[in-house]
Amino acid sequence: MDTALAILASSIRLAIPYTLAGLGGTYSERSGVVNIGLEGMMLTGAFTAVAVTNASGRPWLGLAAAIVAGMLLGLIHAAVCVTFKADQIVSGLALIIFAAGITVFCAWLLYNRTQIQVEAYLRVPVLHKIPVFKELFSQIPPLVFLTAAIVVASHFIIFKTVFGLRLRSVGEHPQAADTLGISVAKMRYTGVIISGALSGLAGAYLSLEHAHYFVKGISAGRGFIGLASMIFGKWTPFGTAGAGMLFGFGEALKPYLPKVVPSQFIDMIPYVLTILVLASAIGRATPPAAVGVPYVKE
Amino acid sequence: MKITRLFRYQTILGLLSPIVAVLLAFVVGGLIILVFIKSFVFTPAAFVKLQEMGLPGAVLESLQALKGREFENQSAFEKDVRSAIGDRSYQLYGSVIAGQTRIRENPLQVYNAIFKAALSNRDGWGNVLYRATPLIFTGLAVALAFQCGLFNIGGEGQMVMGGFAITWIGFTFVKLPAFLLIPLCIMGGAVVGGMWAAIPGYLKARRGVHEVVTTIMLNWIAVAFTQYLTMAYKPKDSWIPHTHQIAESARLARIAEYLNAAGIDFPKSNLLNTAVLLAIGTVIFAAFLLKRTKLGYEIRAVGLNPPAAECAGISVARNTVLAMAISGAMAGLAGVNQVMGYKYRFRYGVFEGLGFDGIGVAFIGRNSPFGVVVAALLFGILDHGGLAIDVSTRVPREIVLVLKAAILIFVVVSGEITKRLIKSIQKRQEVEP
Repeated sequence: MDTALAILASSIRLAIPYTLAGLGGTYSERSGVVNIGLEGMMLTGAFTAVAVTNASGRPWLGLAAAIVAGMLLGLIHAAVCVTFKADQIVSGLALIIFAAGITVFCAWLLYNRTQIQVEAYLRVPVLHKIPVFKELFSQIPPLVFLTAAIVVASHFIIFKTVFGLRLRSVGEHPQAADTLGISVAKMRYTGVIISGALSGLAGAYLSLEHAHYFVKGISAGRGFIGLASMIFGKWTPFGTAGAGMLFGFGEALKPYLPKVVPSQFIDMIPYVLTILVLASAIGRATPPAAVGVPYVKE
Repeated sequence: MKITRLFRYQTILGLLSPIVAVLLAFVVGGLIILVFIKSFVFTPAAFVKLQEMGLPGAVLESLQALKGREFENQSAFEKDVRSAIGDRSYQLYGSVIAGQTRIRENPLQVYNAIFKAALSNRDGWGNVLYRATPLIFTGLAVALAFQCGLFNIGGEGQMVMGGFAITWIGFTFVKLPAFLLIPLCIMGGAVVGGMWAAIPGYLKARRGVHEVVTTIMLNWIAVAFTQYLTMAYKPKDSWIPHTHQIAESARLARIAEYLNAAGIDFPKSNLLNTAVLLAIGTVIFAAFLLKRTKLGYEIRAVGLNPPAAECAGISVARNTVLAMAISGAMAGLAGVNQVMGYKYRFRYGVFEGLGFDGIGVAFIGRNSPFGVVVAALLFGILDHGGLAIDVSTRVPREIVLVLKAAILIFVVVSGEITKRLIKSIQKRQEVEP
């Protein structure tokens, strides 16, 4: 029973970065912009969170800075893809390379090393003093609850609000949206910047809460699993969270599996499942119709 | 007349825009160096300046202890100056003292160090070529698929699968003589890389799944799979995750051997090996295939306009799978340089990132085989020159990654701007009587 609970708690903890990055991808792709740069935004967020936390002694400020850093990268991606209509994949890739460079560059400059411990932990102001919550947060970090709230809110925003309808419409049929007076560029900028914010948050979770340190390349492909979560979750917030949980669960199981199952095969699960749903071998995943295509006004 | 003029514009802009893009990227990198890299030196001149600025005598007195000292970064500076003059004075005068002692790194010197290390001697040139070789393979892979309208970002996966196949053949058929084993290894790398790339090709052709997502996913599957295989073929006494060594007969000769035999001075330790010749051959093959063969024509036709190609009796599905397979085969050959020419065994570390860099190389080279060579050389210069700046400047070598990213972004953006410019020129000419 204890093992089962431990696995459950661990899968939730592992699912958070996938879910947040996947949600980020959802906002971006729903607006019609492919964002493979999630990985880079996450990495930048992870570094910024640690740097600002250690400099200010305030982890929540670090968290906010990570979100802003993610948004800045999102802004670059949006400018390249929406304003200049350049290739979205290449831009995303450039962000990944940029993030891998700038984080290590700054780590060397500021700390003279590439692994940096977090000096102050995230604490929820009042609740952390109450023993019950303290116990709970030691197993399930506060950001898990924030993520859950973001998932529910995202479902509401994307499917129940005017903003969500517009976001989806520019991703499905930008011409139609444009004739209705919706600014395609504005919606796409918003979608991509939200995706940067969420990926930055995912990175902050990774360094501040999950690892308690930043290390070169800490995101380690998690942004791509986020992308996989988004596809496996069929571009919906609840689906993405579910897929994130599933992939987190697979990873949480690793230490408990018998030796005959090599851990590398567990690592492959998210990617294999994604290919299978896309190929309609199991279920069917259809991306937004206009995703990846720059909108050129006639 | 008009068409030739338009064509001339196109050629000039096509050549000019990547050059401008690279220059812009260097400017951005320079700004980052200027903003981030600073050190603080307490020179006698700085003391004179501080005195002139009216710093209190007591503060100057306590600063004397730091005379001649050099601080590599802000935090070291802050720590020592704070303890020397006290918290209160630091709050008041810290920024003034920093302003007078701060020295910034000159970006031009950094770039000079990069290019000098890469190009000023034969050893540097050799290393640039050695580093460019795998990028030519992975860059060609992306460029060739792109000619068919396919975005193969699975080079990383195709490369490691091919690389492992090369290694496996190399340490399994140890009895074979070199003239059989070397071609067998090369074939193995190409075939396995090609097969790995044919999967997304097939899924695109038959199931309509976009190749970008499948190739990303297959990258990570390949990385995990070869990690598993590496552990399975690890020498028992080794703690490092790498495989057995390949047979002596599967190893490629270093170029240094030939040059030294011909009496040309070239360091023996230089890693440049005969894989570079295979790379050049592959470039020529790709150019020939695309421009001079029926298959190349069909591939380009599908890339330009799939429905039109289909109408003309060219099978889109068949060419999609074939283009992906050839592309993957080229990526798979990167292991020839990394394994047969350098490491002599499989280890993911010697491959990591080369597949992704290949995408950048292809785009900077405008997806043409010869453009890929130029771009690969540029990346080779940055990669090798970057090692030097760690030693000779205070700039971490990761600035090279920032430069690569900036080059990539500026190249795609300038490409779009060029396209629009040409379109508007075209329109204007149509309006003219």
